[in-house]
Amino acid sequence: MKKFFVAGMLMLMFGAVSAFAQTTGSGTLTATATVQGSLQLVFNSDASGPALTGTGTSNATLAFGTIQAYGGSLATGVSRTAGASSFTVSAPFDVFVSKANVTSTGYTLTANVTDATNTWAIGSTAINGGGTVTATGTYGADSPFTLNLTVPYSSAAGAISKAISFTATAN
Amino acid sequence: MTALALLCASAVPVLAARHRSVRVVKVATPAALSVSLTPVADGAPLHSDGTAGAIDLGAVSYVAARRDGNVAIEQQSDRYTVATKFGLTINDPSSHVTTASVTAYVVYPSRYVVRVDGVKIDPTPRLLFAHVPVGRISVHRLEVEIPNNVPADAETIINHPIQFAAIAE
Repeated sequence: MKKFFVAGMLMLMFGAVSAFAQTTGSGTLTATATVQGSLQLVFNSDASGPALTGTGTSNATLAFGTIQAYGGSLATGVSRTAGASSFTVSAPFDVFVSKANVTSTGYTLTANVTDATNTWAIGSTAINGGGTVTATGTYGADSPFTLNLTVPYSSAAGAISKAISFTATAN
Repeated sequence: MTALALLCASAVPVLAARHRSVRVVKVATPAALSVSLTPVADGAPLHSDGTAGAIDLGAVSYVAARRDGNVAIEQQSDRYTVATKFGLTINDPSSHVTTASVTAYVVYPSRYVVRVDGVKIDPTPRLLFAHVPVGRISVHRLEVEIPNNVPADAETIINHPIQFAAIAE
C-alpha cells in the first residue's frame, strides 16, 4: 500500500516540473507606414444622360454619338441647340468624390481640355485651357454636371475625341 | 518487516528532497526557443536584428499607386487594407524541439486593426499557429486596416509592434 503512495507522489512531482519547464521564445515585428490623405474621383452615368463607358471608374468615356447641326437622330440622353454660327450638344454625367483620411468637408473641382477648334464647357464654365467647375463639391454623393460641346459651322466634318482631365482638391 | 522498513526509508527522503528534485529537472531543460523575423522575396522591406524586426509599408493611402508590387492595398467602402508578407522562423539551439505553437499580441491598443494570416491581433495574446516546424521559415501575410475617417492631414505614422511568442509542443 505504501508502494503505491510513494509512486503517486513522484508522478505528481514530475508533472509539476514539466509544466514549469515549458520552452518558449519571442520576437517583435514592428509594422510602420505613413498614412496620407487622399481623394478618389469617379464618373457615374446620370439617370438622364447617356451611359458612360467605364462608369464607376476614374477613366470613363462619354460618347455623344453622331452629331450634326440639323436633323438626324441624337443618342439617348444627348440634347442639341443650334445657334447662328455653331451648334452645341449637351449630355449630363455625374461626378462622385470620396475622401479618405482627410478632414475637409468639401472640394473644388476643376476641368481642363485642349481643343483649338471646338468649345467645351461644364455647365456654364468654359474649360478650354481649364476652369473651376465648382468650389463647393460634396463628398460621398453624385454631383450632376452637364458636358457641353460647341462645334462651329465652319469646322470640317470628322471625328472629335478629346480627353478632359478633372481634378478634385480638398477645400 | 524488512521490506516495510525499506519502503518507509525511501519514502521519507523523496518527500523531504522535493526541492532538490525540481532543480535537477531544470538543468535538463532545453535552451529557450527564439523567434526570428525575416524579409521574404515578395514582401515589403524588413530590417531585422534577429528577434526584432521592422517592416516598412511605406506611404499608403486609399487611392495611392504602389511603389512596388510587394505591398497591396485593398479598398473597402469605409477603410482600406495594406497587406504584405514576412517570414518567421522558430529556432531551437538545443535541437530538442521539433514543432511549436505561436501566439501573438499587439503591444498597445490602436485604432488600426492588425491581422496575421487573417487572424486579428489584439492586446491579449492569442494562438496564431500550431505545429509550426522548428528551424524552417514560414511565410505569413500581415494586414493593417486603416479606416478612412482617421485624419492624416499632417500625415500619420503607424508604428505598430506585434509580439510573437513560440511555445514548444
